[in-house]
Amino acid sequence: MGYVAIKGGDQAIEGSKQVFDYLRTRNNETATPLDNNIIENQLRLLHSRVLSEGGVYHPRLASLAIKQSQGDTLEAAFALRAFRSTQPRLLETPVHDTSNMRITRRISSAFKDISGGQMLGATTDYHLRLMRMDLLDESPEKFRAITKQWLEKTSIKEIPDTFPKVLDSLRAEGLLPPVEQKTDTQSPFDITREPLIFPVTRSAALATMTRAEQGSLLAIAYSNMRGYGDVHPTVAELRVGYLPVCLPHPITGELCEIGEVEITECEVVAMYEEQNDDNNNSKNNKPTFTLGYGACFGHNEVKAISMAILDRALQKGIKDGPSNPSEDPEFVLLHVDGIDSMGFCTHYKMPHYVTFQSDMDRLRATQENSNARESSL
Amino acid sequence: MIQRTNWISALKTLPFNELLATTTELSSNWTLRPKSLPQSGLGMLKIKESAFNEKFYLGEFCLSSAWLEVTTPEGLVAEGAAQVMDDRVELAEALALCDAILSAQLPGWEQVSTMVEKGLSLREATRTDRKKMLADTQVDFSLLDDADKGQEHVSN
Amino acid sequence: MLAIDPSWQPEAQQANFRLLLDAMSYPGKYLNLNYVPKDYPIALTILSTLLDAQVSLADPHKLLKDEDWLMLQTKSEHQDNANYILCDASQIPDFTPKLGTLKSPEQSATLILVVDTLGVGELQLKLTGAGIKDHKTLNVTGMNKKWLTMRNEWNCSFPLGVDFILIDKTQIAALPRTTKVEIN
Repeated sequence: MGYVAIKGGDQAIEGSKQVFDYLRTRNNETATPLDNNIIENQLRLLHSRVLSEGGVYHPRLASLAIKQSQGDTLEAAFALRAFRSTQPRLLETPVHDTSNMRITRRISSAFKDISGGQMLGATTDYHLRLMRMDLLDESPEKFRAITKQWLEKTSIKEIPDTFPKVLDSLRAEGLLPPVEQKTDTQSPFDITREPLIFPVTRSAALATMTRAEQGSLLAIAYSNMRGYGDVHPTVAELRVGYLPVCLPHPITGELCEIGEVEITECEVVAMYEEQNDDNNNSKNNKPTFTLGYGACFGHNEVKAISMAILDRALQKGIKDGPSNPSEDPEFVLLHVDGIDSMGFCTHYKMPHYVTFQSDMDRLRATQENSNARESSL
Repeated sequence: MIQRTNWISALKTLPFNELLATTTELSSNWTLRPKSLPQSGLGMLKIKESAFNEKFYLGEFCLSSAWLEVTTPEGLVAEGAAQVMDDRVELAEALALCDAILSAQLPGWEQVSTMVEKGLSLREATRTDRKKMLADTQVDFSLLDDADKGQEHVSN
Repeated sequence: MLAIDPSWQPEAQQANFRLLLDAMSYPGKYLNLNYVPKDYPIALTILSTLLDAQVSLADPHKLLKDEDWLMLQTKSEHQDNANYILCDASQIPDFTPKLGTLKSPEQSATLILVVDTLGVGELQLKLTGAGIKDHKTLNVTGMNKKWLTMRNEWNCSFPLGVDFILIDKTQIAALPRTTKVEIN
């Protein structure tokens, strides 16, 4: 059977693009287009999600991606990723230390008293999940009054610029595995340049998870939390804030701040274990807590926590062999990328006429064969 | 005079049109020559994670860069360069020009200095805003302790 | 705001890239550059098309000035390890470029040889191989024969080897490793 040439789809495709945009703009006479500020501010957390999954910190284009995809996070992340693939890579930054973050939220579940204090910041953690019906009819005046009221209240507390990491105090007490002062000049794994070929390094795992699709990362982490795993995490510290990005001045060589990125960062402390050396022999040192780390662009706590749990799970899986999916690097890392997964899912909608035609032919032949056999019995 | 390393972060908070207007006006009869190709693209952010101090790439950000040489009609020659987290190469060029003007104190440098001051105060406002967010939501555990009088607490 | 010579702009770069593809597809074919830069050597315009911050360049014969390196924004590397090597064709080669591996033969060097004149000259090369109908003759002035001796050595374990791009003041021609070169 010959190939079925597909013609006549051009008009339909053109039409579908127009219908898509029509649905975006169809409304009553008072409809106004969304502007970037509305998306970036009033849909702040959605915006953060797309920034993170898109893999490039470009707030203006993340807003545009959300607008043009009509709120589809997978499509929006896809658009942002596609954009980044058209841009030249100019450089890589020097190593940045997240202790320099300009904090907007900082909590610890492991400790009540942490140096610098716990500051809840902007969170939904304590919200009653009741519908705020008053927001259905929010007037511009009421809207603006909220900011005005907040700015009027002045605070007199002294807040430091940066805060020490909670992990540092645990480390000082000898409760954590010691950190080697690595003088490695080896670059971290760049997932935008090389494909993942297992076994992969931890830097490859972290880079993959940081731009993973939030739901899939959460689902796999949740499986671990519920018992398909053994992490039993406690959040040592969760921070949200702005990390200044610094590059050496081309002429003077001194580090200059060229901008800042909002990030969420989480460190979890998990079950303690004995330390083994590279040959898996006991080092006869004291047992220590194990750690997991998660960080991502934007304000996204569920993602950072999930990533930290999976970081710990993968470390365990690599060391002891995976005993469940969340500990298996191949399972986790190959199924959490939103663009990869939605792309594969979406491709099923593309014509598979020839493939399916051959499936039908084979089924008919098989049915005929079984009929022939039955009639000859 | 404010440190050179702070000029970019200060100036980029200003509206771009304002920055461009000033730099265009000041350089109207100067000769500008690129020392390096002005570019717009991406930078890759490398961070050190805090569990094991291992490096990994957190993701890319938009980056523009420019490096130029300025010659005034009076024969003054100065060099300026800038890299900025933005996708507009024109912004990098304007910032590089400001870098040249301020570092060599070319004619009109006071205007640029004023812009830097303005930028710094905008940054200070953001800083204050963020600190207020923290101050307003700082947990006062001492009140909690008062309420649970007589119970032993395990502190870290 | 900054006036950039057209040879650095995307249109020229894309046109040059097409030219290089054409040169590689039809070895020995002389191709005229569309944009001959006013203030820069032609080598620079070819290099700017090929190079970026992710690859490296060696300049063993010091054909480039410091300010040229700033414009190219590429990594400087020793000729034994560089992805691209700019050479003065009148000088004798005294290095061994990267030849690639069996698994990755493309991880080898591309040599850009600056000659005096293409199409004219005492050195006459007979070219055969992929992209050439029967044979082609390439004439060149200002190229030391040793380059071709060394080329045979470097390319003897095909697909390992190097590719040459010859440039004079207005033209380019290419000798990819698939081309057999005999000196007449």
